[in-house]
Amino acid sequence: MASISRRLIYYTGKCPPRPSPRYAAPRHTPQWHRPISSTTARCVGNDPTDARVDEKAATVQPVENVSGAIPGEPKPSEVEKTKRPHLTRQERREFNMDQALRKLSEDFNYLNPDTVREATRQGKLDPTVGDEFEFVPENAFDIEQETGKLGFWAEGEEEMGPDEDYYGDDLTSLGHGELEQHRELREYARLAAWELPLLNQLARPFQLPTAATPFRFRYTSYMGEQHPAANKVVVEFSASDMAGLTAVQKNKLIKLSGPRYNPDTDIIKMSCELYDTLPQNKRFLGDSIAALLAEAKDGKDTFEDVPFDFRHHKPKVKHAFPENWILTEERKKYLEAKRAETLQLQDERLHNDLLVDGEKIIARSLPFVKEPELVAVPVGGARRR
Amino acid sequence: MSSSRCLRRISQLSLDRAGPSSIAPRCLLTLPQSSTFSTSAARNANPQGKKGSAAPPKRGTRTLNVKKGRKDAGKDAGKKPGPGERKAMRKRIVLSNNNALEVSGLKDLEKENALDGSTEGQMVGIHEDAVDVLRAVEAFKPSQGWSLFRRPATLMRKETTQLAQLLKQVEESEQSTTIRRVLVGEKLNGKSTLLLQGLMMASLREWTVISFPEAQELVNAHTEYAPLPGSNPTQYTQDAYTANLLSQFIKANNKLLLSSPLTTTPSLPHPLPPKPTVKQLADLGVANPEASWPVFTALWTELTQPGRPPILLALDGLSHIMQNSAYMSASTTPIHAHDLTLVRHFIDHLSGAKPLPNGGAVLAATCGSNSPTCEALDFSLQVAEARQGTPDKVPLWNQYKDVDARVMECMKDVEILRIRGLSKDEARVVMEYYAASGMLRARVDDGFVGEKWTLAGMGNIGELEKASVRLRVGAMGYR
Repeated sequence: MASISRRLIYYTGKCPPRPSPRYAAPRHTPQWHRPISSTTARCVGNDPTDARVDEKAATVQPVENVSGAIPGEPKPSEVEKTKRPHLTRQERREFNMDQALRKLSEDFNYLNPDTVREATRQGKLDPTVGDEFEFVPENAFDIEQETGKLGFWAEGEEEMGPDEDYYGDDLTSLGHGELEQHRELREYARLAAWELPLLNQLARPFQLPTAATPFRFRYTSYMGEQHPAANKVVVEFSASDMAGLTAVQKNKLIKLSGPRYNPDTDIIKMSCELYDTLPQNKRFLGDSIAALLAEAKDGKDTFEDVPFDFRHHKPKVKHAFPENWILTEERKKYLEAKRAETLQLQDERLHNDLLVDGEKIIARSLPFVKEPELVAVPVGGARRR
Repeated sequence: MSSSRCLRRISQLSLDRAGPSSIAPRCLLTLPQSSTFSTSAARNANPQGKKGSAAPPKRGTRTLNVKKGRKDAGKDAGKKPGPGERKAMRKRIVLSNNNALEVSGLKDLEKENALDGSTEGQMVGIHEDAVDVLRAVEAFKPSQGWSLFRRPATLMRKETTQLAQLLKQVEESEQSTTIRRVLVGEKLNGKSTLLLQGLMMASLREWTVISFPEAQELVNAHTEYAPLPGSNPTQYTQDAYTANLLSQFIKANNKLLLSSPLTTTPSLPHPLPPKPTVKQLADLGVANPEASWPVFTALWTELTQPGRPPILLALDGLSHIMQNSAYMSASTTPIHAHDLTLVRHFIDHLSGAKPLPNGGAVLAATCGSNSPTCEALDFSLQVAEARQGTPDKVPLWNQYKDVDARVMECMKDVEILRIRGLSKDEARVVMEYYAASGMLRARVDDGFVGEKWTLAGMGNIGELEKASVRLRVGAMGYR
């Protein structure tokens, strides 16, 4: 079985290595300069005074450009002159011209993007590309499993055969764990979508418990998991629901129940997880209740002299918003009227000179003192010394 | 370089010719001391010597030592206050402020209108005679703001009128009626002041007034105590305190009562003058503190004889006498406050165990700031309040808590008088009085009154005084 990562590595190896941009050929080669020279640089083929011929240029381009012709333009050479000596000068010129035009047309055609695209489509342009898309059978990547090997425990032991190869291509155990979890989630999602709605068929209507069933038992299921509290049974019952108890007997039952009694709800709550199985615990609770009731009904000691002990219970205080704080329409009206009345009263006081003003009273009762005259003092004069 | 030093150099040069003589005359820096036969020059150069290297001063020489904590250091720090001077300063009652303005139109509370409720919601001045009485029974407290105003005046608030109604009820009823009330309320809400008003009204109406101004002083073991002979269980008398109480009684009660002759013939350890008056009886107790308790009981018997005026018994700081006192019995167990004879006397009347034959009132005020926690008292007061307000919701004592049974017993059926905050109208009256006294530089209008009333926690009068008279940050800022 070839994993995805292994295939990726395989394909990467098969692909032609792309030249790194660092090693790609530069666009233009820098010219060599003589280290110290006052004359301008000259090179073969560039210098009109140089009689030598650039051999490289000659092999690449069979066109003479020594004799002052424009470089790059096709020109009939002396080679053809030697090939067809029988042609007249005029014919020769025409032939040359014809050939040059054809060459130019071909060159242009070669540069046409449509032609390039067509060639690429037919696979003619680059024959090496086509090899990469050849069909590779599935089993080509399969790695032979070496069965019957001890794996890790046989490593480094020559008599146990060659070591097992590790290609560094598998997921980590954490990754496998994630995948496993995901699979599990999806499984439960499937269950929720397809099977949970079927539970509706098992629903039964709720019926209030009757006086014959005053006990409410609670069992806890942990959905098949092991849990230390799986065998726990809790029972709740109201002391007032116990049939055939007088007030004194009921009080004795409450006193015997101790902190299991909630005075707010009048409910006694007991639990048992003493035994290993659920029925045993339930049986124990039933026996305890029976013993409690029997003791409560025993009139030998009525516990009348013992006060109730509710120290275990802290009543929950619920603060309700005070009703007379609610801003009803009437209250708004009342408040408006009261404010108006207060304003009016204050107005009356103000106009009848009944409003007491502390400032005025002090000013009136102080002896008359002449205001000291203000004397002009130069600004900043006091600061200098 | 000074000329003397130059001379010395020259003298040294003459002594030491082997030294670097060539540079010596020109060098201004100190030269390395060349050895001479005399060491006095080197010693004189540094006469004090280095620290630590010098020898300790000779025995008997005077040295300057200004370290703190020496015995002699605080010798001339000024005169120390004499014994009791600081306490006198702390407890000083100032009832007048000459810088405050006289409030025009302030009427005194008179005997006629003391109880009729016509002055409700007004400021009334306290008459000079009443001031003397209240001063005698120590009803004025140093923490109250009496020293801010020209003369003592008080607001006849709603609760005062309630109290006046009760006193009136005592006076008008045919058979003897005893009013028993505990004054409760928030801190600084005027409980002690209401007690003072009660004392004032009773004094104006010529009642007999006996007051325990600080319950704490009864139980904090600052006065001597002795077991009462023949008492079982042992009770303890406080002779000095009782003598003081008798002297207060003489100062606080009116001349007519004091000059009236005794109708009973008490048997006392000290002889009485012939045809004794009430004052002479009390004086006997003041003069002989060891006989003060028998004198007090004899006086009480005399005061409860038919035809005598009603009695007002008052106590401030109730929770102090609802616990163990600081006194120890002979077996070094703490003495419960109820085992002290004076406290017992008050508690008997507060709980109603002993009624007042001529009628009267027993008032006890709780204290908000200086009161030890007494759960039984708190609970009893809660129950009493519930009994008055919502009788179907009387709280139950937690049976599993320790309880001071004596406290529960004595507070069983006492009633309370709850003091709440002032109404805005009352607050306005008080603040107008402040402004008229020149202590409040502001216009007393509705907005101002409402602001201060709210700042004072819905009209807590102590806080109102703090907010408007004592704290004047804004007003000071404008001037």
